[in-house]
Amino acid sequence: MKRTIEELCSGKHEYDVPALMFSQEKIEVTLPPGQTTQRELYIGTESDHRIRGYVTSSDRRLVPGLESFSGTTIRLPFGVDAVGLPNGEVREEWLCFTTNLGEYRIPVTIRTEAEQMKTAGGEIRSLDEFAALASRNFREAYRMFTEPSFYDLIHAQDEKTRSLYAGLSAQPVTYQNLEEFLVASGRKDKVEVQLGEYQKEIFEIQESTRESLQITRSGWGHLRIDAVVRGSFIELEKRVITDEDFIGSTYNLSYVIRRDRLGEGNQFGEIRIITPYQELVCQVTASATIRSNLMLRMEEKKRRLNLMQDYLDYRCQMVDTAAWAAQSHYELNRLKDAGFDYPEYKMYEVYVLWTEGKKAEAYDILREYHKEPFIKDDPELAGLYLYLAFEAGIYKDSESVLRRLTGLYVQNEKSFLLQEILLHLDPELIRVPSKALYHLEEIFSKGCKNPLMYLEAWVRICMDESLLHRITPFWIQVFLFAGRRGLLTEELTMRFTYLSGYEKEFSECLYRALVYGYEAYPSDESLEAICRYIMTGNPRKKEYFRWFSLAVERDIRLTRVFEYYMETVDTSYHKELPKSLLMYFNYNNSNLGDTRKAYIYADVIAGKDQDPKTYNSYRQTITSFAAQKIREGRISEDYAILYQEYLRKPENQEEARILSGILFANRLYCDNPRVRCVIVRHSQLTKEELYPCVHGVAYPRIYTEDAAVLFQDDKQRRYSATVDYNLKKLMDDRDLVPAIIEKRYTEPGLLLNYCELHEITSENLPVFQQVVQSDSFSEDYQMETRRKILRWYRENMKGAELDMLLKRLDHREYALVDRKALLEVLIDRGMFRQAYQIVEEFGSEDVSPSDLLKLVSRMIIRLELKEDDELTALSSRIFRGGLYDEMILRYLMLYRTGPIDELFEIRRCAVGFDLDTYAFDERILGLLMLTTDFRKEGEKILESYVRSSGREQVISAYLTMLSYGAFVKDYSVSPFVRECLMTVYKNGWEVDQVCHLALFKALSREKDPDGLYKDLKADLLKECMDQGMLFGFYKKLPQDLLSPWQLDDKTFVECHASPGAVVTLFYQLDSGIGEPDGFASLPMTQVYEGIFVRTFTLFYGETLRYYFVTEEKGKTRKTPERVLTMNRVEGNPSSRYQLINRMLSSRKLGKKDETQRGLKDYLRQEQYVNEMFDLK
Amino acid sequence: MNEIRDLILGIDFGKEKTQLCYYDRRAGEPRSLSMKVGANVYEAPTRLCYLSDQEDYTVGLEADYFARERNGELIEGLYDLSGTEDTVQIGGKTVTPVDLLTHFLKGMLRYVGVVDVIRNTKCLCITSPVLTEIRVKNLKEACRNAGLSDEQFMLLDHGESFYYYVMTQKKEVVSRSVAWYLFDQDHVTFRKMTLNTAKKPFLVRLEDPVETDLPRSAKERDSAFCEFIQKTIGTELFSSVQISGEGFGTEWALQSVKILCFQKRKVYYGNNLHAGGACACAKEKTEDRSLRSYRFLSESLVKNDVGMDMLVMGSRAFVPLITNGGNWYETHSHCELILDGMEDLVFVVSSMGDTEKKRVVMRLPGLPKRPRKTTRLSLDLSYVSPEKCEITVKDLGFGEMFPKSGKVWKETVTWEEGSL
Repeated sequence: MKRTIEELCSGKHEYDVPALMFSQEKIEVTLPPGQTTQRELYIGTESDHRIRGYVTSSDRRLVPGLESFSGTTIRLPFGVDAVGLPNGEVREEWLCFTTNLGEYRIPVTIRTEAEQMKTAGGEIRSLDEFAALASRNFREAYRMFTEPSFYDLIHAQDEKTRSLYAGLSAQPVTYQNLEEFLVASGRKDKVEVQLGEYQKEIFEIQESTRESLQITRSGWGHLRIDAVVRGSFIELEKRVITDEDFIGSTYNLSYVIRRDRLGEGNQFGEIRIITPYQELVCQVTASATIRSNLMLRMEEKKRRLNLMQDYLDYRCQMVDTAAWAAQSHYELNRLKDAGFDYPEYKMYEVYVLWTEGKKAEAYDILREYHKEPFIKDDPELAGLYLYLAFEAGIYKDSESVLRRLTGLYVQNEKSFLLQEILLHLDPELIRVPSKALYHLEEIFSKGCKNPLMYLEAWVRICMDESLLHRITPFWIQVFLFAGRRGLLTEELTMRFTYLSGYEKEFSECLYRALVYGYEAYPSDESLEAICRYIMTGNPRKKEYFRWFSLAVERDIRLTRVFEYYMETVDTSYHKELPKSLLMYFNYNNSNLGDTRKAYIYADVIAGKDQDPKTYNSYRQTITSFAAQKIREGRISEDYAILYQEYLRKPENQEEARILSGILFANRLYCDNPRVRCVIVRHSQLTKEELYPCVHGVAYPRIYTEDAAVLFQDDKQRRYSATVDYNLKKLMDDRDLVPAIIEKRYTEPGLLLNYCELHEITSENLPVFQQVVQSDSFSEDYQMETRRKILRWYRENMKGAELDMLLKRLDHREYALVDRKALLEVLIDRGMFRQAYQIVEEFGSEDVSPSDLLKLVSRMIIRLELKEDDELTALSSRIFRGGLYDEMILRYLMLYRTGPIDELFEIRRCAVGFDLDTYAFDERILGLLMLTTDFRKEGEKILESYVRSSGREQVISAYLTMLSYGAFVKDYSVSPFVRECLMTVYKNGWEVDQVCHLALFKALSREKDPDGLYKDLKADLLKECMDQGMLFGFYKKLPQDLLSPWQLDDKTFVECHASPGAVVTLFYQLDSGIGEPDGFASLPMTQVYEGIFVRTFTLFYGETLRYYFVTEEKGKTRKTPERVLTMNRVEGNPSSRYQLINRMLSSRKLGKKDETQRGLKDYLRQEQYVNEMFDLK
Repeated sequence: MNEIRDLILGIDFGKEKTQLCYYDRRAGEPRSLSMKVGANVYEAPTRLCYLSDQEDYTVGLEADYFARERNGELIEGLYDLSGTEDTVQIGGKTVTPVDLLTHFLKGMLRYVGVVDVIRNTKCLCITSPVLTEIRVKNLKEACRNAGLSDEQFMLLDHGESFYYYVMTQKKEVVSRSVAWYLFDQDHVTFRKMTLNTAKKPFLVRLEDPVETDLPRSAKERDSAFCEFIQKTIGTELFSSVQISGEGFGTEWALQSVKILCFQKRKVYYGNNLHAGGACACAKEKTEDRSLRSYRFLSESLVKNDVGMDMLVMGSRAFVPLITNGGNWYETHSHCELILDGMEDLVFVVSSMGDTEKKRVVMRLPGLPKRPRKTTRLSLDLSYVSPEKCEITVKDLGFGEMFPKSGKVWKETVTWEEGSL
């Protein structure tokens, strides 16, 4: 500024300043929220003009690296600060350059934009877009899913989705996790597969063959299929199939059927296709033989079985002979039709025919086989033939037949058929059942399992019950047979039941036989026997509950029956327990496991209204049991009932801790056998919680309704939406949570539950503040809690106590959450220093202008008006927003160097406040001089400055600038300035000549009828003439002033151009006599700073046509042509020139007399001159 | 509860209390669900509570809690409201009974604890003491609003739920007649369920109720009940005696129990009879179908077969529209037909156990005159009470040739009276 003043004072003027050039006309900065960046701007001119000036910005988010600068090329570094700006914010700011080459504003756009996830296909802005990407490129989607920036996409989603993501993005992240995420968030359906065929039958396999199984999948997405084979004859080509193996939606799984591993008959195998969601089975039947053979064999087996069943029914007297015979003939005919016309069936036919009395037909068939040689080959058939032939009378010697049969049996001791025949033929065996039974037991021990054998045994035992004197495997089978066929008798059942009491080892068969017995003849004795017998084995199986419950119901006294009742009871549901059982366990509960005890106690509690007596008797036991188990952290539905019933609000922190451990337990049941763990993910917490899933049941702790429940299998894959489950809350925590909190136990889950369900009050505020301080909570949740706290503060801002809490807050953290609310609260509570720190770091957008005004104003006072860039910028912003107070104005006047318009505005307002603007005026004047700004308001400031007895140097410099403008650039001059100039002239201040010239020019324009300034003008003219300076405005001066300088008869032509220009005058003088000559050229000389003047002496009637051609920096410019005509004769002519002019004028007007008079005067004057002045 | 999918649920929507049952396939029986966390409380008050700050409803015991602790707006008389179409003002808004029932239903289903309970529900059966036309309409609408499809829910009155409860018990419980004492505090209703096994289908009938009031004091109450038992079942043989409702207690019924157990009659007392019955009904109708040979003659039964003689695929045939034996609120039929030169509809009606057929004509006044076989009609039959059938006929036109006239004919018919 000082330099400018000096330059001005020393007459250094710049007629024309070059324009500033900026490396960028418009600056756009995009940066992530919360970050800062540095940029550069280059400033220069075409002509390497020296630049001096100041730079200011509209906001503190835009910080110029220099305050002032000087040089021919300026590099301006500037910082952009987006700390505290939300994402997607766009702010329009500017940088103002106040320079000696003028004032310029460069618009700056600051845009915050979070880093977008980019893929080869472009940016991903939403979950839908992400799902679309996944459908195109699952691998790429997986890559993105595992990147931390994916959270930005999830951030805006609801709590449930966030929890889900948190759970599924936990390491290790599998493709399955992403698949589950997409399914659970409703972006896709789960992939399902179908098989082309579910049954495959291949026959006549001569050599190993390759087959394929078509697998079709639905939709898109990740898929991993495990293929498992059962059956050694199948060999799979691939055991793991992924989605990449599929062509379109199908894949053909090849497999080989190995001929060398195919045995006889049909081989059954299966291929299991296992996906995370499905298990499909393709049954494979393979055989080396042809299909029809196999079918026939099956047919034969089926018919044989039917024949056996029919015969048993007949023997058990369930059908009569005729019906049995008819059915048997039917089956035999079917066999015959199928080509099984074997002798053994013929023999059976003979037996049937014989039995139904068709002896002739039977005889005929037997005769056919009379000479058949199959006796040696097949002893059974031979025996059968012998028997039938004997019966038919073909053989008559019974002894011989018996001997031969016995012989055959000796050869083939395992044959029950031969034994059966002997049983019917041998008189001894018929007479002595014990002997027959001995033989039957013998043959059983050799591995015979023929039901007919059991029947024969049953028939015999029924004849003599005393034969049953011990239980053997044989008798168990006989009893099972009899039970199954409904042959049991009460006596035998009783006997069998009685004998079972001697058995020391449990046998499932005997148990089943006993059950048959009880079902046929229920009695307390057999019930007791069953219970006793069960107890010899493993009585804890659920299926035995029927017997123990019956025993308790029937009041059967048995040791440990109540215990087994409890061991076998279905504890998943509460049914009213028998009173006797409750009474028993009231005194004898030491043998029971804890789970069972809890079940009983829960039942007692459930029935307390119906049976208060029992409840009261149990009360003490249950209370101590509950207290002990809660310490052990045991939980189940039954435990929960106990805890709920007996546990009251905690008395101390330890109790609070114990209670908190079980409070949020839920029972989760899922029937998916792959699930190993249940994971509960609360997006509000940093860690997930893992619970083992045993037999499909887990007891996870869930604190909020929007927690995500995930499942993990043995391969660490996680599932969510594709696993169905059932969840039951076990404890009612509503009253207990506040009670635990009161005891200052602060486990994260507990806090979370509390904070989610309660509003902030002054009492529970510390609880919420713990959330904010704890590492266990996610950043997002902490921020949300801070937001809540701030909102609460804003709505409840009163009380010194709250101020104390407010002071203790980590304001910086809160500012990250809700700067606006925090600042409002801080400003309201008078914590200006804290608020100011926040503003400094995070900015002050969104804060109401009035609050900001309050803050800035107080801070200015606190800083005692010391300079602070932040404050200056803030004050300026508030002021530009239309709000200000005295302090802000004062401060701005002290430190703001910003755009001149703004300074003017500040001054205008300051004047309104009656503030002293002296120093500010000086600064404005300085800036006006620097920027060579001739605006009229400046003159007013000058006026004020002068009135305040401003510095002479400043005033004169400013006047010099104004004078230059007025004189060289023809700006008008206010009367005040003219007065100043006059004063300066009169007082003889050392100012530049241009001040005098400007004054002279101004005076020349004024009418001065009284001749007040005549002397002044004469002096000024003399000053100019002394320097040979001729100006066009002289013609406005009175004749008497000009005549001494012989300028009264002169005509001036004046041209204004830049000081360095070359100006040529082209003119044509038309004297009115004859044709005028062409234009003549004349180089002009510069009189002062680009002012070029030339004088002509024109006679009346003469016309001067002229124009200028200026040459400047290689550019030639021609001014419009002008015409000057001398057609005026003024005043009393005195000079010869005037006289001639008058004569010319009179002659032209036809005034002869006047012309002659003029001629006379002229001649007289010439005479005088010639005579009086002798020119030597 | 270990059920996850294909849930079979029964709700007893009572005047004062509501119960929720599910069918446990592993145990093979309906089981009640607890309505209170950490306790075995199987009944919840039939109430809703509106929380204005959350704009949400809570049900049952929760409703009581929130009304008490959080000043929620308690909505009582939900059962009575379900039988009307009157709107109520709740939280400054006008709410219909259907809206309230929807919230109630959704709230109840939350107790099941299964994620996405609607998708995983195979059948929900709601039983109520009395089913009126409006209640049926409201409950059906509420079920649909809650997201259930028409195949996923069914309605039942208490009489029928008793039938299903009893019939799905052990055989010995139903081998003969079954006595049923329904307590409503001091009021007892006796009904006898008889089984006619003379011909198939076996007819099961609940005989007309016999009612009495009992005094309050224990001794008098016991003796009054004894008298009532003598009067109603005496020494008759019953395979079981079922007692349900609130008002019975072993502490006062000392003599009564002895009489009830006369000749080793099995006496069952339980409070989940109706919910269990509803659940059993859902299981029976959707999965077991083991009671096909039985028919319960309820008061809600539609007793007519209704059909029409029509040309089907070119040959004359009788097309059955309504078959008897269903409850009126479950009976509806829809078909589309083309008129062949006729101007009115002729229904062929026969009554249950009656071989004679009756023809009932429905006129269609104002039916546009069109050539033969160019009038397509939509026909809907639905019952509004056991006797009254509502017939809705709509003119569907015949494509672009004869655009539909938009005419709708609606008639309510009592088939017995035989006229429209």
